[in-house]
Amino acid sequence: MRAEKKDQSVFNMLKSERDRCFELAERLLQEIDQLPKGSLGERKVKSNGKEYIYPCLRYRFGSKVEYKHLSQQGAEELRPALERRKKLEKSLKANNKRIATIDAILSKG
Amino acid sequence: MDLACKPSPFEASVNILLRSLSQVGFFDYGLMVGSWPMVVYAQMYGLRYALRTNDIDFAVVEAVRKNAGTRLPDLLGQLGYELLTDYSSGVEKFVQDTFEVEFLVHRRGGTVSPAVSLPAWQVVAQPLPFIDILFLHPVMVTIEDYSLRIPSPEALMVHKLIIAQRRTGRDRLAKKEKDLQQCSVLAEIVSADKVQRILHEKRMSKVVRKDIATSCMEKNLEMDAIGLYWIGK
Repeated sequence: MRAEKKDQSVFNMLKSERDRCFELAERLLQEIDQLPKGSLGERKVKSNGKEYIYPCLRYRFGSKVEYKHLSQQGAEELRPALERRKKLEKSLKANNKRIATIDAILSKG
Repeated sequence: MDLACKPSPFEASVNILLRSLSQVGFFDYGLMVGSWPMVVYAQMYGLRYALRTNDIDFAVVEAVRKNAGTRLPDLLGQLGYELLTDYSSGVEKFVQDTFEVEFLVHRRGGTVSPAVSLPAWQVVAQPLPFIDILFLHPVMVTIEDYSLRIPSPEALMVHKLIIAQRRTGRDRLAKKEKDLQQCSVLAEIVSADKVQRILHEKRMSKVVRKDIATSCMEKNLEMDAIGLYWIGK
């Protein structure tokens, strides 16, 4: 009886941790949606025998990769938001993985 | 009371976080609370308790001179934590992968503000009732090359006995079970005299005393044996 009760507390703890991760994942998703997506890169354009390099934002739109021309200043302003998005996406992935792991344990009872 | 805990009971990333906070003097004003002090007590006293969540809460005193603290968002940012603000309450938390760091302050009766700004640390904390109990006779623990403050086992137990009956939200039953489980474990090591000292210093209403009694009853804890009685009040 005592062992059964202790197992229940572990079970509850896991459920509580799952709920916490779920809430955090939802919150992260909200935050990520407000941030620009993609990564900064450079594009080379040849014109009149000269080669021009300009910064651009690369991002996926459906099955295509889109490029958006940016000024040097625009690219620098965008960089912190893109880095933040990457970090938050990494956290979201980690949370989703943890939720899946806990779900697998809970489903085994 | 001072304790030394060897080896560190924490994983590397938690050690880095705690060491950084210790180095900027955070624990002169704050405590590590939640389930994490249990990790220290489990190792020191051989308690059978290994459960903890991936969120770490710190209780902070509200009245700190502005120049006494450090900008915690910068410090935590250097450690890889990202700031997340709850737009409905304004409370800030810091996230790294599945790990969350949050700050709590004592909520006085009648206060309704959902968030409290702490200028000394440049963070917005969540006010919760009964946090002041955790600051009664805290314990300084030395781990490796740093020190941190945690609530005494007695303060932690009294606090958990009260809040177990006051949990809200969808996972309140799971949290209540966790609180009471911790109380059962802490009851093995608390000093009845120290519990009495806390009850003398913290005035508790009849409702709060009833909450404590209910929690003890649910876990079959003998109140007198662990110092939970009131004389002449």
